[in-house]
Amino acid sequence: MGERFAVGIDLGTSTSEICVFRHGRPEPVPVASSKSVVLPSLVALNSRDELLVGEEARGAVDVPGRGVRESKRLMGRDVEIPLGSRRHRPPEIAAIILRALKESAEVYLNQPVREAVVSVPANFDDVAKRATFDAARIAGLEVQLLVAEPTAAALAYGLTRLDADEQLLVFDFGGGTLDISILEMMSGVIEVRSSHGDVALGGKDFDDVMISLLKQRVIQSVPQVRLSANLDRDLKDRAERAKVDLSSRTTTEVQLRNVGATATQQIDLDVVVSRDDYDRHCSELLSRTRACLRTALGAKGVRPSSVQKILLVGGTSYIPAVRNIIEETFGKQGSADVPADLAVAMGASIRAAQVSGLLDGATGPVITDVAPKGVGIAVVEVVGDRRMLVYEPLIRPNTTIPFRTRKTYRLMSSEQDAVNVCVYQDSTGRARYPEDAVLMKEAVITDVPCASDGTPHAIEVLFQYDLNGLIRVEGTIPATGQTVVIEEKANAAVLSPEGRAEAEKRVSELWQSRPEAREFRAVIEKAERMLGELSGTSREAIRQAVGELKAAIESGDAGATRRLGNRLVDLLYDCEREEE
Amino acid sequence: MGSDYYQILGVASTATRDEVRRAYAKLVRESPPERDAEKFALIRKAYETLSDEAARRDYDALQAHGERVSELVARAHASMAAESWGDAERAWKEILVLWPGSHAASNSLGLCQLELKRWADARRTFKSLTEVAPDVAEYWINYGLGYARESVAGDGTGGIEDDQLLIKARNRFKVAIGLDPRNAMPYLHTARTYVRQGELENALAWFDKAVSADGGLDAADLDTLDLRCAILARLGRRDAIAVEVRRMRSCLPDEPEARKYIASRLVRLGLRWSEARRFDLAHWFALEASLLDPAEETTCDFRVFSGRMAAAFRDVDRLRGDPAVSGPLTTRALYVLGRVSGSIPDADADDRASVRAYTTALDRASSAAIIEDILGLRRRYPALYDLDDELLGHVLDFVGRRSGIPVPKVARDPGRCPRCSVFEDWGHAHGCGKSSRDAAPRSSRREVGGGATASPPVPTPVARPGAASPRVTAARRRGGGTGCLVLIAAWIGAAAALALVTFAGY
Ligand SMILES: Nc1ncnc2c1ncn2[C@@H]1O[C@H](COP(=O)(O)OP(=O)(O)O)[C@@H](O)[C@H]1O
Repeated sequence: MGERFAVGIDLGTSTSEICVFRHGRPEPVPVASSKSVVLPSLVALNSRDELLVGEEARGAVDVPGRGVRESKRLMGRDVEIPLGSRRHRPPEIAAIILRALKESAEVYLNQPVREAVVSVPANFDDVAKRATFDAARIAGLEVQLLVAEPTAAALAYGLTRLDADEQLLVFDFGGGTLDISILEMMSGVIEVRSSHGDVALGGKDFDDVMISLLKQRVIQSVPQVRLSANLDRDLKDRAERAKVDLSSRTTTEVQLRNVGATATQQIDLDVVVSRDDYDRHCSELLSRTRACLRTALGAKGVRPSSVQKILLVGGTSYIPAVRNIIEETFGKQGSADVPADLAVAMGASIRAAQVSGLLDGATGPVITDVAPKGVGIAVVEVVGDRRMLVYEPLIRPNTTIPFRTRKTYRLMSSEQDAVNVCVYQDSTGRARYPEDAVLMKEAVITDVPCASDGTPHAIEVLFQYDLNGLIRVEGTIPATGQTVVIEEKANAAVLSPEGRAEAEKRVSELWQSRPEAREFRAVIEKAERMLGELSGTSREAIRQAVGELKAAIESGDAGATRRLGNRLVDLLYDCEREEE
Repeated sequence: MGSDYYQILGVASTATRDEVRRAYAKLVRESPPERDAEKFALIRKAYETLSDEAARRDYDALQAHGERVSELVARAHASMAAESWGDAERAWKEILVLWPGSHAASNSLGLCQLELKRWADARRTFKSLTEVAPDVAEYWINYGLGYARESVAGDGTGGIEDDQLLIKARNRFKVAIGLDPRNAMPYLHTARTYVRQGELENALAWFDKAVSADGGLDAADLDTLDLRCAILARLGRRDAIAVEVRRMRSCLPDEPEARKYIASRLVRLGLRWSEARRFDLAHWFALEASLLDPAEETTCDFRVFSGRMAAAFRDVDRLRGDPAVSGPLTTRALYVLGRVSGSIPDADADDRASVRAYTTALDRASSAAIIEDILGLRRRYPALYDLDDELLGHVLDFVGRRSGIPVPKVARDPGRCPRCSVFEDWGHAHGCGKSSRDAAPRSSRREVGGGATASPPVPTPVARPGAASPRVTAARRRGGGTGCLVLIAAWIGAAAALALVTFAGY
């Protein structure tokens, strides 16, 4: 048995990280293939149809149909992503990234990793959360718990600040989403009070602004240009680099090659973009950012001056104009107490340590989180002088989880033979009618027998948020024992057992096509050839080693593969030497 | 035991908010949510209640007086159900003394005060309620009613003070609309304030907003459409009423039962007008009802009746300025004839005096004058004459015989349709097969209405298809009296209050 550890993963839109918690603190794990602790969330096939993940995929990822970026934005959606000759579901792409992270940790720890806490945006919907569970299972990982990204970041901050008594705001601006959480720290308890976000605002959108700005420049300088067909894709990388560049400098030069053509020539162009200019183009994104922040503060009526600390998390929070918004609002700068790109993964590993009992209230902080969305059902109520269908809130937005509540209603008449339980979500806390909320799912109890005594049946509705922030609603008619259960949308995006088996097969086949997976192939071939010539104990030892190595490769266990591969190399080396 | 929040957190009932927080933090560190969800839920609930000032006050109140409060609530509800508003008010007051944070109790208290017509008290109640719970539309509506109802309850002279009340009421309703734009009530109440002020066009517009408040047209909008019809009638907008009837129809599925139901509602609207002696308006509704439900006899009868009355009314108006008919005598004659032929058994002293006066007048007048008068009436005002043709016919016969003056007989056409007779503009909607040309002025009214001749036929309320409607109430059966009587009485009291639109509510 090795020492005890816990693992946390930040599965990000643009970058992903994995941390190991041991010896009482989180350690970022270097990615096996690159030595960096940050794994770009990129998946691609090279020209030999080999699978590339992370930094190594960067060169190939923008070839149409052969690479995937920002697949997190598709989680929970019913779409297929083409990759070479195959098509994949979003969780499969996430699974590939998770697998790369998992194997890095296995190499780092020299132990198998079977479970982890995975972070998700605070405002991820239930289907996307389920898809994340699917992704982990496909990658051979058990999700111990999902943790909201800003919550994880706060935990990373709070780990060593047990005495803090302050109001904290986490501003988590990543590649695809903006999440803002307001927390209160008191005597070692970190309490998330509210969480608000824009699920469709992130670094990607800032890249898009840069892309269109660059295109504008090209058209300005060469009005008669025909822009090349895949220009947006081609420019993506350079645009992102230019954007990042402007975070530390006031101008940046972008070299554009072959962006289009006129009748006579191809266009190459060097463009200088200033920070001011870029900021102006970003004004719409910036005002959305401001609006999001305002709503987040409004949710609990928090005055900016009462916020003692602002944690900036996520790459997009490096953008100076974004930092300005923070300063304008709070009159102070965001803190750099936690590393912006690693805080979430660190926090996730701390959460994993809490869940697996490595860390408890006696030794570390305790955290409580909220479900940002309210939940309710549609019921008939008399409004003014008429019966109307209204939204009945059962759980308010930003309720601390886990939470459960039960309420009893009556059917409308004793002869009513079916009830429709419609579950809605409301993130404003102000929904009054079903139209103001978002229908999550509905379920019908049919064939309800007549109430013999003439009083309409009672129907009991149980609402529940679990620690993952997943909703479960149960409607029961006690008199007849009939029950319906409502969980996340039974959507095609959430995999059935068969679907998952197929997905696992597809991913595992892809995984086999990684260049690393081929690493020991030559050695195995050599060993198998040698087996025929050998005899006795060394033959048996090599046969066994080959078998184990093959099994390890098959199972995708990188740590074991490496270990067993090296052992086989040693055996063969000794064997050769003996023969000489 | 385990359910006492102070015990759960292990703090004194005097604990400060900070002590509550600290106690909570300590407990959560021992039982974090991932370890023991149920225990955490308990701690959390206690903490949320005790760390929130208002919630803690409510909790304390109910811990201390919970039993008494639920006793009182039950009593208050019972009193309200029995309309003993004073008792209910006292109960709610006591509840609020024990449990000052209860919004529902304040609201109920205010409602009782409204019923007791103690406007200022009610307003004070709702004012403070809307201060502590500013986002509940219902409270704002009730607050507004505190103003609106006072205006209605006043002496009815209107005036600036009334206007002020109504404006204040409208402002409250407006807040309610902002909070809950789909609740039809505040629109309706606003419309009524305009009715109060005689701003009918504004009222129409607000009734329309009430109709569309909750989205499309549905059965619940029928009452509001009724009100719009009433106003349109008052404004004399015949065509607009037809449009409104079409909207009523689209509130319900297009089925015969639904059409019958709408027709019955229209007849009821018509009845209200005939009670107000506006038979012309009553007739509009009768016509619309007949169109929807041509086979229904009572509807048809009402149409015939209201048409006849409307025509007679027009005749009366013309008659007043007509020198060719000797006014005083004829009107007297008609009045008394009406009385004599009518079904009121014990006419009061005034009536008896009138009878005497008439008899004297009749005695003094020459037979020729009487005959000329009645014949002139028949010639020029057939509708009026028709109302009591039998009696007038008798008088003619009698005076003719007495004086020897030959009186021409009225030829009766036995083939006339009894139902369409009066309505040349109408045609034979009930399908009797006659063209309107055949529909010469009427036959005996006895054929039309049966026994209770002139009292309008009472439509049988038709249940709305689908859900049983609580709004279908039986139309009141009106008391006796002949058409003639009704007509003349109305005319004699020339300034009869014609515009009577009764709006429910207030
Ligand atoms: N210095 C920087 N200035 C501006 N944007 C940056 C910078 N560094 C990273 N980013 C952007 O941040 C995003 C990635 O942030 P990250 O925290 O990794 O998000 P996620 O976890 O969602 O992938 C990308 O859009 C990237 O371009």
